[in-house]
Amino acid sequence: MAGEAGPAINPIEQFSLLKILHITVGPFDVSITNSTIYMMIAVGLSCGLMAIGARGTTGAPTRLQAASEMAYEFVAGMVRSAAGEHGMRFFPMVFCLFIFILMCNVVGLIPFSFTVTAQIIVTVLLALMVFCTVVVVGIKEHGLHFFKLFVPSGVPIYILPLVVAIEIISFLSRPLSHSVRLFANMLAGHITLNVFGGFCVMLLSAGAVLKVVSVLPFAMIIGLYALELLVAFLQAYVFTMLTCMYLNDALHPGH
Amino acid sequence: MAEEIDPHDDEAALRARLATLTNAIRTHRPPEDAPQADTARQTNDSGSQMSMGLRAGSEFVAAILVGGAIGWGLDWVFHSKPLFTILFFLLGAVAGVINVIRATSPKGGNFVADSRLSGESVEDKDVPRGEPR
Repeated sequence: MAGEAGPAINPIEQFSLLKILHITVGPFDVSITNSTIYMMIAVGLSCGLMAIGARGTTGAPTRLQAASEMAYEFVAGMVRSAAGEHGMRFFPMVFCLFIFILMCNVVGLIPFSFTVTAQIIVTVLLALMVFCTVVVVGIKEHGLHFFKLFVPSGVPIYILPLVVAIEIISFLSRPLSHSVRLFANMLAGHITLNVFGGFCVMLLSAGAVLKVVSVLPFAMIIGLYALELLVAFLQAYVFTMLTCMYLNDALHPGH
Repeated sequence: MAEEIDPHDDEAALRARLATLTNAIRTHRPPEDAPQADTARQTNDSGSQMSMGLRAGSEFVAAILVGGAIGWGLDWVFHSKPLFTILFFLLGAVAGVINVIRATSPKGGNFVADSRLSGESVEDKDVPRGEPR
């Protein structure tokens, strides 16, 4: 990520997809790309963490067991508080989303790795999955009653059409804000890191006095890395939190 | 587990011990709800202040974009070029404001205009989302 040597430093080169194994099925290109591989790594790490966490049941918990239990408790608490006990039906989905996004974000912070969540297609797909789940579950649970979500109670009839239009726009904007938030945060963070890394490299190759100055962007990178680690966690948290709130709307429409 | 002692007896004893220990822990602990609310508040304080800021902006922009896109689509269908785009762009802006107010209102309660952004006046403002509506 931060620190390819060379005269021209391209901060968005890190996001380019590289085909590693060319596969085509019929008209579809299903090649294995670096994105695919990092997704697999994220899934593998999550499964590994959970497998180790679920294995040890005797004596004091190991660190990994404690970590996996913390992840479970954290997400379970979030689902319970946002969607109620009823929402625990969706716990598997919510937990998978959380751990996958968290792992992708954190793995992406390792230098020279690839950030899956900085690809908008990935985040859009995750957000659409949540959106479709909300709509399908809402209609299945409540039938046409679900559309009361768009009709707030206690609104005078003459402004109702306006309010309904606004509510529909507000509802449809959810997958957009849901996906763009995660994507933009990861993208912006990684570009910033790369730009400061570029400053470092340029100053180092510029001359004797400027070499000393290159400490400044380097210090900035250290600070930014800490911030990015926070953002990586926070974005996974926000994505999951909003998923719970949307599911709550599906389970209890009509506010 | 091949043990000589009667396994049922052993298990019963263990279970009894577990029950007494659980009771002992329960007496030392504050009521069941307190620790949960506490951790919820903690995560609210540390992470959510920042995530709230990150959320508000994207909620606002997303609604405007979706409104504009719907308007543009309707114009494209009805060949009424700027009419619906303008109308729905404005509706989108309203929806964006509502999104932000909703995102910053106390959870669980009613939709209040006096939100987290507007200062300390709401009493139950930092209360974590309680019973689902």
